[in-house]
Amino acid sequence: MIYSFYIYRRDGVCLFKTTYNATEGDNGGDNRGDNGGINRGINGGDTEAEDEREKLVFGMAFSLKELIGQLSPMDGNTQQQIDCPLGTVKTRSSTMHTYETLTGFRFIIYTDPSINTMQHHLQAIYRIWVDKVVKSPLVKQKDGGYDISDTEFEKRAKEYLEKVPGFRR
Amino acid sequence: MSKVPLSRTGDIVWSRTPKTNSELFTLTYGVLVAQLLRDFEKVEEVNKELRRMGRNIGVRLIDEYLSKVSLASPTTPPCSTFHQTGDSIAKIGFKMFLGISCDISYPSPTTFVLTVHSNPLSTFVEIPPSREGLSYCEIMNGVIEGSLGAVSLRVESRFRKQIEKGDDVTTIEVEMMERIKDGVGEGYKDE
Amino acid sequence: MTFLHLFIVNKSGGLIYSTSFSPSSPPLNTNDSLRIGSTFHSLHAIASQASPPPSSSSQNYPPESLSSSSSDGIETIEAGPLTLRCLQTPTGLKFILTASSSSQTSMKEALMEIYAVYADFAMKNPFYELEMPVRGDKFDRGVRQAVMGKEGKGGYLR
Repeated sequence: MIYSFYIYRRDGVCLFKTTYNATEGDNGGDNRGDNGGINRGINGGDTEAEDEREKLVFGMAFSLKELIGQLSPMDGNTQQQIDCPLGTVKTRSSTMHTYETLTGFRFIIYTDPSINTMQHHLQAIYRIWVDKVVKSPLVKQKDGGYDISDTEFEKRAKEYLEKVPGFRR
Repeated sequence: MSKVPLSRTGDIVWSRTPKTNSELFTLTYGVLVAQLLRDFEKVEEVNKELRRMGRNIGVRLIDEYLSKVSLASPTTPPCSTFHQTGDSIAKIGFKMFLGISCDISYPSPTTFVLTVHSNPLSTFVEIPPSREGLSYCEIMNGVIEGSLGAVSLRVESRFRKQIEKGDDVTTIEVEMMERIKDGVGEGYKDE
Repeated sequence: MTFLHLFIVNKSGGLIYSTSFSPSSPPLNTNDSLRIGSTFHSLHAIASQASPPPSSSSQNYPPESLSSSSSDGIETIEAGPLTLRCLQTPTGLKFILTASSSSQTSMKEALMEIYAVYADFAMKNPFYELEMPVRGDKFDRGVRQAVMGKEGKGGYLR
């Protein structure tokens, strides 16, 4: 089951945030249809706890990358450390899947622990992002980030993720 | 609960534990208590010292217990109720450290009572009338308190009956007082 | 499969043991190791808070669950060829093992054996002071045996 999805810029500004399969009561999540299950972070309207979580998620991805950098094994021939991109972080209750592009965007998806890898899905979403946001002449710059409210990105990303096996339990 | 019965896990761990001659063990403990009586004179002080020693042992032995049990039975989930904790002590803990298993009863949700039919610590012991107040096996209470304390359960453990005082069995009553909070408490999160 | 590093962190985030296993382990000085230990300790705590569904309390340990939020921390990290696995004990200790191209199962087994080595040669050593750094040849040897066993060269327990 996919819980939530974040996109960050290199400097930690959150460009996009949404939650899926929200668990407000048992029948709340699915019946709310197209609008109810989704909260858009950048345009406000979220609780303080969610804002706090948004910072924690980036902070964790950032620090783990540093940590992994120190622990990466040496290449026997070159005596250089092998590059180890942070992929998944598992806890008992959830798994965090991350994908960082060379341009410094971080795509992060939280799922339940049964899903082992989302790497190629994250890359597919990156391609949607490039098509619908980066290449779009209509996207407005806002507070140093992209204002994606006028784009199809959110809709297309949701369509894509709903087809991923295990999107719902 | 896991499919493997706790007593089976206890047997596996016991079979892997190095053994010592039980008389050597009993005599060594006897010498220890006798020496404490000589050093402290008052039996109350000896009881207190035995309990303190037991706590120090328990704090260390809990890791022995947790690591060896998880190796013997990797699928056993952590205890989720105080009674399960009691079961594990009765069926695994006593087995792996003393070679005996004991019966258990639950007078209340926060209490369990362990019944030991033969106690290897006091095989040859009769308490003389002049030492009436001595709680010869007091170290066991300390071990229980110390080991559960290390997994953030503050308990009080005391004897209800003792074989060496003429009872037919030894019974240990263990009552849970509180769960010790982790270092990072609510106050920290608020900041 | 190659094991790279082992770190042991006590319940307050202090590093009590670290060692490396292979020529391909990146070199770390004492300060690096200390920092890695405490960084991981805090990230472990953050991970349970950042995790989206508010921690489900299905268990009913009175008055609250024995596996509290602090035990819902990082269990594994996968970063390309590098794998990190953490075993947190109910006593609050963390054993952190890193390896390259390794299976999670063998890392889990190695960690459980290392915990047994710790119980034997640290906790049962009367001269070991609780929460302090672990030093001792027997402990070192036990750790190495546990790890080598998983690489197919003997083992700590049989």
